[in-house]
Amino acid sequence: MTARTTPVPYASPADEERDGWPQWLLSTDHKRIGLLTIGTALILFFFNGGIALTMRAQLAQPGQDILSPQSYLQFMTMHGTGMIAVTITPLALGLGVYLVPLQIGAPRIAAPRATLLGYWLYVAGAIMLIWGFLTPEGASTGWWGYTPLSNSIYTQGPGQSLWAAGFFLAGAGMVLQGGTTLWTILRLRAPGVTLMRIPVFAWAQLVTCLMVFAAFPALLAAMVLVSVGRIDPHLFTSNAWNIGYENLFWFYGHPVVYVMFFPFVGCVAEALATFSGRRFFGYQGTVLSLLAFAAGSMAVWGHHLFASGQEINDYFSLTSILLTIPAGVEYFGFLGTLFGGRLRYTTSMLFALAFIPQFLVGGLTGILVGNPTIDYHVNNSYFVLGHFHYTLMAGSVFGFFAGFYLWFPKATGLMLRERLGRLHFVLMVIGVNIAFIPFFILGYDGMPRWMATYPAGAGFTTLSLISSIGAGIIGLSMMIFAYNLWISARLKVPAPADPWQGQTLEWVTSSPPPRYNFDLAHPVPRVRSYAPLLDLRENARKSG
Amino acid sequence: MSPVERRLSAAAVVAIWGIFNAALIAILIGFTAVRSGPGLDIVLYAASAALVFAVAVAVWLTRRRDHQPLARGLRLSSRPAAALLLAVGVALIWLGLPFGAWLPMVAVVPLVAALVMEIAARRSSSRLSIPNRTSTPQPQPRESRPTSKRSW
Amino acid sequence: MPFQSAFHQLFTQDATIAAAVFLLVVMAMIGAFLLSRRRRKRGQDPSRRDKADRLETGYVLALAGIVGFLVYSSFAANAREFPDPHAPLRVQVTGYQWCWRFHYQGQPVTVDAQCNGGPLPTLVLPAGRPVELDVTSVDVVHAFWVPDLRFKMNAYPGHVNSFTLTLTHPGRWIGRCAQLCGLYHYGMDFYVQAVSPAAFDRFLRSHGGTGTS
Repeated sequence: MTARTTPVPYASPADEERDGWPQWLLSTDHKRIGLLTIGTALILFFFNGGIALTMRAQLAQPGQDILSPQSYLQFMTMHGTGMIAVTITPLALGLGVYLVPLQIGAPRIAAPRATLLGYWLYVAGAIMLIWGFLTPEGASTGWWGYTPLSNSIYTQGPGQSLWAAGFFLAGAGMVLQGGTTLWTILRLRAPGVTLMRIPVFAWAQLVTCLMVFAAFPALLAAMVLVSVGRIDPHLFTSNAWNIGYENLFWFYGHPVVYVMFFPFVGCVAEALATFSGRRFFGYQGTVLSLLAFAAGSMAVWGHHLFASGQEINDYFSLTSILLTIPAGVEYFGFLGTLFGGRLRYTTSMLFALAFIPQFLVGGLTGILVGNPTIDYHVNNSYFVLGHFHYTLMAGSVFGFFAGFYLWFPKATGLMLRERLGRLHFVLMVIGVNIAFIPFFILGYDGMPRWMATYPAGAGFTTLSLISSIGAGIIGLSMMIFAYNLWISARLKVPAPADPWQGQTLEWVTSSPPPRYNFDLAHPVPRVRSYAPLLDLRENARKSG
Repeated sequence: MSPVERRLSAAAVVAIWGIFNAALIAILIGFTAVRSGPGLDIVLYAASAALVFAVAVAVWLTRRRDHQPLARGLRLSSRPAAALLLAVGVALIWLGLPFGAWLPMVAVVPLVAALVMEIAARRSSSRLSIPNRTSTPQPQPRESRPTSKRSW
Repeated sequence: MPFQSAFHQLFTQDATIAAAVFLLVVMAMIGAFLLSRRRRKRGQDPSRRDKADRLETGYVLALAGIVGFLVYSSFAANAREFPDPHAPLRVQVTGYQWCWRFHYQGQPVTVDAQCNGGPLPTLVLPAGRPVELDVTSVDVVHAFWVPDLRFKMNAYPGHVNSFTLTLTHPGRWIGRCAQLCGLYHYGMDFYVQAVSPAAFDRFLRSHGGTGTS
């Protein structure tokens, strides 16, 4: 049985993009745009992580002066906005820009220049956020930017305005990248690749991009509102504007955490399937639950407003707790894939496996704070910080690394050092758990968020110190990761097209893929399911 | 293909997602029945759902009957620098907020340059031709061969 | 005290369920590791099975049942927290950058202080009697949080959030601001103190009020 080729552009040598920075920075190749996005976001991950380490140094003991109150607020605002707007969200969407066309057998992304524009708007946004951070008396309202605190009466100077500009531009850039990725999945699939045959990662990207479209416009409107408040602050003396801003902001602010979650669920799913040696379990249920989960996450934003006294708490409690069902179906898929698999413990797999219980801690504590009665106590305390650092750092970031170690060989044509990867993994597991378990206890015991320091007799000292030590271990693990990247780039161990016995279409093509993804030497094969390469291997074994 | 596969079109997926959201909005309306008039939360959520349905309609309108998405050919994107200039222009406009209104005026330069580039790009787009899928692919002469001096 | 008891009952229940779920998942993972090791030792291929529809449906129904129970618990607990908001004694709680002011309605009694390294203001209340607190702000958004009482309420400019508090026994509890409000947000602490009704009466009189008679 010959593999049926799909029409692919015959790539001539003249079409190969030359290397050199102008060609990279103005590329319309989705792979380069994706790598630019992910690369920029990784640099910012180190930057925002350094900021977090400084904050944790300040908080390791009470009454310290490493950061003045003003500096602390600026650091804290940069850390939150930086991680959400210009680090994790671009990592999530950048992965989609890179992988989605490959996984669906497409030669390109839809609207490549719009995708490129998205990258540059993101970069402009990141520059403005950092600029605002560096301004004395800069952006200092936390990543929420609540009015009237963020208007020009209470926060003076250009820094907060730069923050609003940067947040807007980065958000707009992500809308463009989400939009083109969505259009690619919907319209550019190779023949035979129906929607029920795209990989789990592609489905995760699909629902992510739907949420981007549905929720990010609210962010853009919120930043316009902040801008108005910086020009005419007297608008915000009316409570309607203030609670209106909170609704508008959280209408974006909740779905964005799922934008920072689903793509990494996709990474974990691909890693689990690949390194269990079987196709992902319960695909149809997973697809349905992804759609339901994404819709549900649009409907919970009011749980950030339980203590506002101006929200329908019961509705948002219902929708928040309801998310248990689709989340449970995701876990059914994870565990079902593992059971009956023959596991290979590569670095990618280790990160994927750790994601499962670690994200669960975040998810379960999320259900807890989805109860207003519980939230009236722990809202805006370290308990909530613990909840979302578990979902985002111990969850999503682990999912990201599962994907990174999985697809790095494909994207670069180089293999990473396995031993260093395992060391990175071990240190990171130790680090995140030591750093963030104390948060739950601190919050329960009454420590609020946004504290530049705390009183010595309050009972927060020991746990804060332990948490800071954990943060240091995370920093160490990231140094190991950086070293792995550097040494692997020097050693240049070449990666084959399919180093892992992959199941999806990106493993058909070369490492790195050619300009238009598939060519005569690597055509798109017949696609019969969401694990086409697994099908081909199983059929070959049957017939040979 | 299974029945699910046959019926699940791209527009249907987006519409289904819109319907999930509409159901959640309906529950919200139920919870707010005692309130007079739609609050901001309903207006906000309903507007978002309307946007989703608009996307579903756009997807449906652009459906193809021939299932040959690649046969229309690939346009070799030229003038990608227009994207960078547009980003610079938009950034300059926003810089007017912290630094004063003269910056948005400067933004006119890159914005106009981007517009000019975009118009030029649409006039002279080169096409990559696709080999016939049933026969051995052969390189075919392109309508306008991309020059080595690719313009920005 | 209704906030405390509602919180503790619900937290204990839900945290226990959460812990049980976590343990189940971890045990399932360990089971999967052991099965995989056995498969490897026996030289078996991974299973080809890719779904279990009946099991999954049953599982989803079970999840829905648990969710229903949790939602019901949430609604019930929330309802217990807000008895009739009208109480004869009312105190206006005003947050401002960066301390708190307590004004006893119907009395010319106001308590204020410096915070941030200086003395903290104390909200003195009678034990055993329901008190309505009207929480507001004169500048940015703050939040009135008494951790030991397991309750907080946001303070908005141009808006009043009211809730009823009944402190069943005398005591003193630290309070903190729980909404970022600027530079000295971290120092905006206060105390809530419950005293006997007689002592409360004396407190009002000593601050220029007419007592509770």
